[in-house]
Formats: sequence, C-alpha cells, structure tokens
Amino acid sequence: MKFNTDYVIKKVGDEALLVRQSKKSVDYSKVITLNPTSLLIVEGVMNNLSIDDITEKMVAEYDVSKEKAKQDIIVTINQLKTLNIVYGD
Amino acid sequence: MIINCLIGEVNFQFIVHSLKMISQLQKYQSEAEGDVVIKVVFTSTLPSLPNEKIISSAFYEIYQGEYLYQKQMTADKQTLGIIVYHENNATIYIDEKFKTFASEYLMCEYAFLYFVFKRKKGILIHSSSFAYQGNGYLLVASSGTGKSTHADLWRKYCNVTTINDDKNLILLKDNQLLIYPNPFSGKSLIDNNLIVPLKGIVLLSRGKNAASKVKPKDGFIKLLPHILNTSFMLAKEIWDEVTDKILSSVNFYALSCDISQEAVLTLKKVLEDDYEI
Repeated sequence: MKFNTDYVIKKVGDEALLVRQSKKSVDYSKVITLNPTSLLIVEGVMNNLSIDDITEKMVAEYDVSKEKAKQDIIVTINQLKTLNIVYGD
Repeated sequence: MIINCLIGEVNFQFIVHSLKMISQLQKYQSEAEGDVVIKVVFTSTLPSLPNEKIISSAFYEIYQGEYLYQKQMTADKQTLGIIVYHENNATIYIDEKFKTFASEYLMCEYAFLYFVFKRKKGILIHSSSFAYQGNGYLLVASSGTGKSTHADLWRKYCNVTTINDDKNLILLKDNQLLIYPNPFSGKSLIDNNLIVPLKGIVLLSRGKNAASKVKPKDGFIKLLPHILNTSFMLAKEIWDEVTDKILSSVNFYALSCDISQEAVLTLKKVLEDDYEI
C-alpha cells in the first residue's frame, strides 16, 4: 500500500488538507479535508505502516475497540484508493 | 531604454520600450546594476522552438531544449511571442504585430516571476493589498467581485497605501511572510514600493456588510484558486513551505460588503479586534 506522492498534506491544528500537485500545476479541484482520524490513517500509509499497525495506533489514541477501529480504517483506505490517493495492496 | 530595478530582493535590468512600462518600472529603480537581465525584442522572425514540449496550458507552452522556452498565445491562439530563459537572463521576442504596452507588460511579468521564484522562496497571490498600521492585508476574491473597489474605499476613508492592486508577491524571509511590491499590478497599474509583513487575508464577497474571522483551513481552501500555480516556475517544496507558513501564521477573515464607508468600518473593526490582548 503506497501513498500517491502527487498529493501534499497540509496540517492545520489536528486536521489536515490533501492538495494535489500535478506535474503541470496545483489542482485546486482536488482538495480533500481530513479529520483527525483520517489524518492518522493517511500518515500511517505515508509511513508504510500496515493496517494492523495503524489499528494499534488508533486504539492507543482513541476510545475505540480494535475491531471497530480496523473496520473503519479499511473503509477509509478503500475511499482513499477510490480517490487514487492510496494505491496497491 | 535600460532600467535597473530592485524587485523582490532581486536586482533586475530591464531593456524595454513602451513609456508606460518604463513608468511602471521607475517606481522600483535602483542604483545597482541588475544581475538578471530581461530584454524585450520586437521582431517579425520569432526563434524556432525545440521539439520537446514539457507543459501545455491555455495560454502558453513550455519547451525544453538547450534553454527553456515559453511560447505565449493570445486568446485566439495566435503566437504573441517567445521567452527564452537562460541562467541569469531572458530574452523576450514579441511578434511585431503585437507591439503594444500590454504585450510587453505581460511577457515581462512572466520573466520577472520566473527569476524571483528561482531565487527566492515565494508565491504570488491574485489579490489587492494594503498596508494598515504597519501590517499587510490581502483582499482576495474572483475577478469582478470588487477587490479593487474595496481597496479604493480603504484608501479613501483610512488613507492606507496599496502595495499592489492585482498580484501580490509573498516572500518567506527569516521565517516571516512579507508582501513585496512589484510593478505588475493588472489593469489599474496601482502599486507602491513598500514592504510589509503579511498579517491577514480577507476573503471578499458582495452582500450586506458583515465581517468575521474564519478558520485557517476553511480560509485556505478558498484562497487556493487565487495562488499562482504556474508549475514550471514554482518548486513544489517551496510552494508547500510558503503555504504552510500562511496556514500557521496568517489570519483569515470573511468579508461580505457593499461599496460604502460602512463596509470599510465593518472590516476595520474585526481587524482591530485582533490587536487587542
């Protein structure tokens, strides 16, 4: 699983924005807002962590069961794959 | 005419022709001989372009050969001219049939920005700016909304100085964002040689007078389309560093306004609230 490096992450407090920078220009139509949990997931992928590693980080930081956390992470990663922000297995 | 100017902390030497262009540049004239030379040549024979086209956009194409070439088009796709970029100079060839101030102004602006962004950490924001109590503010909105009109009201009622009425150069220097003046101020040609820290960005819309502070994240999303995104000039890393600094150090405001004095007072109150401890 890899993070698409065409995107740059811009942190604002505990939230973040993903902005696409294509070869030609910054693509203003592709700005995605990340809430704190989505940010944790994206940073996990950027750091080459596995889904299990990201789940552990999520459980350590938020009051959530391991099962629920893993389920939510998979949903978010699939959304990120649909948007071509994350690719590969 | 040859004219040396200090703009964006870069010493330029412009070789230009139209009186209006000279008059714009004279505001930035310096004693030091420019180490970046931008020369305009009007010609009936434009230079030939290398084969490798690396970027294509609505108004220009970029070619890479021994040097970098920018072919500039008019709205009806005629070739206006070609800029050949070298390490420390650019020659701007403009087709003789477009021998006007507007052509010279447009092409010089591209060349100027190319060298500023090559040498300094900065971005360009389409906006009108003013200096108020030692701080710089940008008025940001889509063309035709009334940025310049609102800036005009601030000059009229608060005696502020406009730094640039159309395109503001923001440079990151000593970990601080500064608005640097430049002579490329759109149709109004209103710009003044004054450097001020960038304190706030005002997102302007038409409506009943109301102003409020907005979250940086929300403000930044609205600001994004107004940041110049000419990638052949801008390094990704610099764009990222400067915009990160904007997010962490600049206040964002939303202003809905008409064209009255009350519109100015409404914004002024919100800006001044930020000075209070």
